[in-house]
Amino acid sequence: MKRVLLASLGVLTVATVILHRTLPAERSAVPVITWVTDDDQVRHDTVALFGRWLAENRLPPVDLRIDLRDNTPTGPSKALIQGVSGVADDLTDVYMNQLEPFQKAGILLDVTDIARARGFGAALTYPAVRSDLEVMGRQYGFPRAVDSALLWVNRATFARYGIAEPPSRWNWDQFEEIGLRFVAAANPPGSRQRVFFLNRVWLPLLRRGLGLSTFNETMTRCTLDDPRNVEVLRRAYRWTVTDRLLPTQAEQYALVSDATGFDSSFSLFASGRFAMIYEGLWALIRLHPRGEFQLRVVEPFTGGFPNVEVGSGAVCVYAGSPHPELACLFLQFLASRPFNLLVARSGDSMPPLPSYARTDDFLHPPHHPGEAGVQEFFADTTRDCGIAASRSPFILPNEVFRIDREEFEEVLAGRASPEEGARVAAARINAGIALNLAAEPGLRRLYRERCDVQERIAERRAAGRPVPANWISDPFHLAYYRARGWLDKGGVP
Amino acid sequence: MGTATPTTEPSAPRSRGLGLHGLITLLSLGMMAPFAWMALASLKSLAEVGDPGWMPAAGFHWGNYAEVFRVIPFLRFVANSLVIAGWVTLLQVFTSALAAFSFARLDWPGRDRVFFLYLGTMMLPGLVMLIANYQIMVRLGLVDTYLGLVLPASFSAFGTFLLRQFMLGIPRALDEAAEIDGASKWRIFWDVILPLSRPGLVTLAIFTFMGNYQSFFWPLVMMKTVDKYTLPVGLLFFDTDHGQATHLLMAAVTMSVAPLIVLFVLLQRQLIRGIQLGAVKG
Amino acid sequence: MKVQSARRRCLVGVAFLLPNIAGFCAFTLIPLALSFMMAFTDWDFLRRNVFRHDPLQWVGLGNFTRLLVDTQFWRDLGNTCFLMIGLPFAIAGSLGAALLLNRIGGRRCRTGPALAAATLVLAASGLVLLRGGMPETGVWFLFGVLAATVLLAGVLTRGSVYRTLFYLPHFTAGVATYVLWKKLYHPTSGPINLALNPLLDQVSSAVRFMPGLFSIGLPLAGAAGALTLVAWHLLRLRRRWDDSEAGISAIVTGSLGPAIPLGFLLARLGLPGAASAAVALAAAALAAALISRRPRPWGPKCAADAGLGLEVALALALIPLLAILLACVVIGPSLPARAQAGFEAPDWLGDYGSAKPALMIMAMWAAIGSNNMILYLAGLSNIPQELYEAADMDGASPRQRFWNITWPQLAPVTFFIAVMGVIEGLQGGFEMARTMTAGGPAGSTTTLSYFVYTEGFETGRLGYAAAVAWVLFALVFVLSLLNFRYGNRNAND
Repeated sequence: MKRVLLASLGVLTVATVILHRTLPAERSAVPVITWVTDDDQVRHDTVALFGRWLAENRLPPVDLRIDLRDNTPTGPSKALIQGVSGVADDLTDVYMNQLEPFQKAGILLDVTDIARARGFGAALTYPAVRSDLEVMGRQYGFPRAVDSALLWVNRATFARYGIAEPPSRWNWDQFEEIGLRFVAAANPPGSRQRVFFLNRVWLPLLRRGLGLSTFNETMTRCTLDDPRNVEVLRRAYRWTVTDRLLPTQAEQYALVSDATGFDSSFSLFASGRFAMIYEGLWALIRLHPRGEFQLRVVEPFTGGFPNVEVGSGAVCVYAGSPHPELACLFLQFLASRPFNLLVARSGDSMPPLPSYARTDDFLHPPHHPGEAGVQEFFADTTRDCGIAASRSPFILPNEVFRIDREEFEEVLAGRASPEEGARVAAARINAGIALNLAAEPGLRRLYRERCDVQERIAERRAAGRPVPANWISDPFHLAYYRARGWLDKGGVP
Repeated sequence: MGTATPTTEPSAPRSRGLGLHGLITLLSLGMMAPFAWMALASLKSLAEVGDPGWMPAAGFHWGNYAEVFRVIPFLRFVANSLVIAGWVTLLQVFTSALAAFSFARLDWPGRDRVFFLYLGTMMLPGLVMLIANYQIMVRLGLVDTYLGLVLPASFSAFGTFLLRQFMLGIPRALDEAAEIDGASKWRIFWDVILPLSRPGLVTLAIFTFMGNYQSFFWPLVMMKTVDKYTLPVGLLFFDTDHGQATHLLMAAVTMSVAPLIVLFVLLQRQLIRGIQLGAVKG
Repeated sequence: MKVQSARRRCLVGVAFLLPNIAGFCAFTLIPLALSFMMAFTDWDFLRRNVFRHDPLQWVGLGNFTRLLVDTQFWRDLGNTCFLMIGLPFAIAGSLGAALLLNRIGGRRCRTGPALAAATLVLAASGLVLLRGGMPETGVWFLFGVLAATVLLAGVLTRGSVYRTLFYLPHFTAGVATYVLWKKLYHPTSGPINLALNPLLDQVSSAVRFMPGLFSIGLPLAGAAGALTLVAWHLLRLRRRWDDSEAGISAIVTGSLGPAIPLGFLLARLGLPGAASAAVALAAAALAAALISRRPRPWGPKCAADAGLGLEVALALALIPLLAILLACVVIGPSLPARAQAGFEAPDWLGDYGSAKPALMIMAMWAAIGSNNMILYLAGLSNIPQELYEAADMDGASPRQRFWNITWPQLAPVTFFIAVMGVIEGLQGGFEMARTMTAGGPAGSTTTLSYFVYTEGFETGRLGYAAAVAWVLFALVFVLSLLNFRYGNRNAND
């Protein structure tokens, strides 16, 4: 035994030395900055292009390296734990619902001033994307890509069952009607259902269709207990459980190695098991390895007010980065012409600068004839109906998302009526707001101010008078008020 | 098993032997079925993984295995995992043996109280200590180092508990004899108790190695450099690079299980003996 | 032998302990103390970290009082406890597996020939498969070959190969197992439901054919089974009381066991919750009173808590069994109506009711051949052969041999496994929930450790998460203490 212990000590020592020796060189002649992102071809092209761009602009060289992003549900936790401990990467991709917790933790560098000086301010990109970059008026990043989720239509699937494709703009009654016919045609009676009409619905979008947001105009209170949300939950329940237009979650989750279930919907869509999927333009990245398809995109159906949710993949600078200057150079590069052309030519997301989404490179990519018109439809819809997600400064959006999902599941499981689900979700989110207010004195002042504004909005609305735009902080309410002509054209009171 | 005392209940008639074999074979198939599915799925193409069938209908895609090596530095990850788990195992076995010797063989005031404190900490969920432990790692500058994965896992109450119970079962006469001969405590430990504890040490080694080879969350938050990733963390590459490449994931998992099976087959005799000699007598 | 001073003995003892205790202090004790302090603060790592320095506030018992009214916490505690019901069955499974393997263990094992034979057979069948293409029927061929190989190797190695095979689930513990089972549980394409569905079709046609048999017969059979089980249990209790093997607390526990399913049955049949609980408790009290008022004229007096450990274990095993039988009573009458539509196999992970049992089945599969089985195997080979020989002389039946020799001799092992099982069970479920269900559907698989994770690492409220963790610790501690107090004594009897 003694010999075994000593021998393994020796073996391990040798092995460790070898492992250390074979590590890639830690030091580099030029400064190294790391970027947490997905590890794919476009990103590698981006890194190479960044090097050329630096050289062309006579800037000092930087060694930019990609660090793998963890896309499983633990990913954000990893980034946060490393971030708050002072050891995160210089640049990081930040997606939906992550900006606020990261910003709140103070781990993102405030780039407002440097962006203004170097020309990558938030005003350059889509207005709907600004809330992905800014918190309380301060800018924390620049988008790498802009995207919005629409409904992808697999034309071959519709043709196979002899069902007419949906129109480009439609409402949820049409969705139900076509969906019922489709599901009946695609699934022979007496057998278990294998083909579905759509992979998932996005509740905030359906609510917006009825003029309801997750929060009130000033985002001081959650409004999910509204009867309109009850109607949305009732419909979603009917589509999933009664009419079986949508699969249950388990039916989607079963194939993938984490619980998000994204990827299985692409294979099911490709094989005709889902007639439509609700995804962004990036779906092309996942669809292309699976073959060539005849594809169309249509607007998501709503109960009245047409809208799509715009999101972005932003790149942010770590507040603890040893090279903040160099990291900001990369953000500057994201606003440059070469990079925007690169994204436009990739065809799987929209370039950060809106003008490049009108270029021929983007609108008419040469390689996939079955996808003609897809990019153009994305560009047009994003411009015309795109609205940012609603995120309140008084509660973290990931918490809101989790509560909303959990209560929706309660409804789908038949454990709560739609009324109950709506009421409990609102109560839980409002309790979360109260908890944050109790913990953070700094928030309370803003909250009181906003509550005053909310009262004044209510007064004006009751009196039938228009409301000044800068009173409204919820992006959806702003767009909705504008569309309804409820905004005060006059300006600031 | 060769060295195990055979305690088959002797009255079982011979003719039932084959039936028993048959029954156990059926149960073994139940245990193997998920692995069979995994191995078969690792030979499918991406498009096929979602199909309900078990067999790769379009022929075996042996290329998946080569693809694993192309997509991730698989051998590097395996080597990292093996070396880290190896160090943890070695340190844990050695320090636990020392501590167990102290608890089982040396009389000192307050000994049992300290021992129960040890036991109590086994009951605390590891997640609570994660943040505090992480702060310690940051202070010590151990984030993104091998040492940062090895050190916190190397001192366990479980190992001390297991080995203490084991050493209690070794007859006292042996070390008393050595003591009369004038051997120091260290000599007694190193020359008498340690060799006699061999099966217990092997048992602890296997349990530790298995557990550590598969640990996920701590390496995930600790490591930043890809070349230092352990295998379970490295498998995340299949969730991003090519979408969710379930077929490659299955190929990688199939390959990652192999060293463990070899280890177990080699050491299972020691393992059984290790526990059987009294390690778990409450 | 020289006499050493207490001081010197202490020094030597501590010196041996030093390497372990130093690491133990650094990486267990200090974090432990920190987390204990955290539980009494409002520490939120989003507000207090390297970059933000909001003042830390002591909230005293605030976190704990908040926990008391947190419905999520109670739900997750309930889920965790529910999942623990599988523990006695998992232990019984390990014991069964160990007994089976032990019976077959031979003296000599011919590993070399076995390996050679297995390799040959597998290689040959692999060639056949490659030549013959991959039809779906190939899987039966494959399993046939596997079975033959296992059998051959088993006979050649006298059973030691089975040990490795039974231990297989342990090798892929973690993510791989979960992905696998997610696939197996897939509601439409998973092998489990593919096998179940034809079976269920048979059953539903049988029910349609003879509705009376099922609507009346099944409840009767269920009731009869439940009554028999309860009667057997109570008679056994009485005998143990008479034999002075069980004290009053064991009798009370034993009577409570069957009362719990009874309470649920009454509530299900329409009685108000409080009333059914009262009736069930009254029944338990009556049973306990009837048993314990019997005089014990002979035999020794026994302590009030004698035999408690065994009764707790038996009650835990009895509850699910009774629940299944009573479920027959409840659903029996409605069966013919349901059969008209045909029975559907469960949507395992997607359905609120079946997600937890699905996870339990998986955990049991993994537990049967785990370390527990190895521990039992070792325990079995430790039993002195003379005991069995003596029993044979007395003409003991196999059942008597098991209950009078094997089971008591294995008591220390069972005790160890139970303690570790409780510790792991109460702390577990995080990886499983993260990978398989994300805690859903409707939170039915969210365990306490997952709750700690979401509270601590997603919303950042470490103080609260630490409080939950310490409550969890208290729970584990109390259970282990009880186990030590009562289980251990029983084990040493």
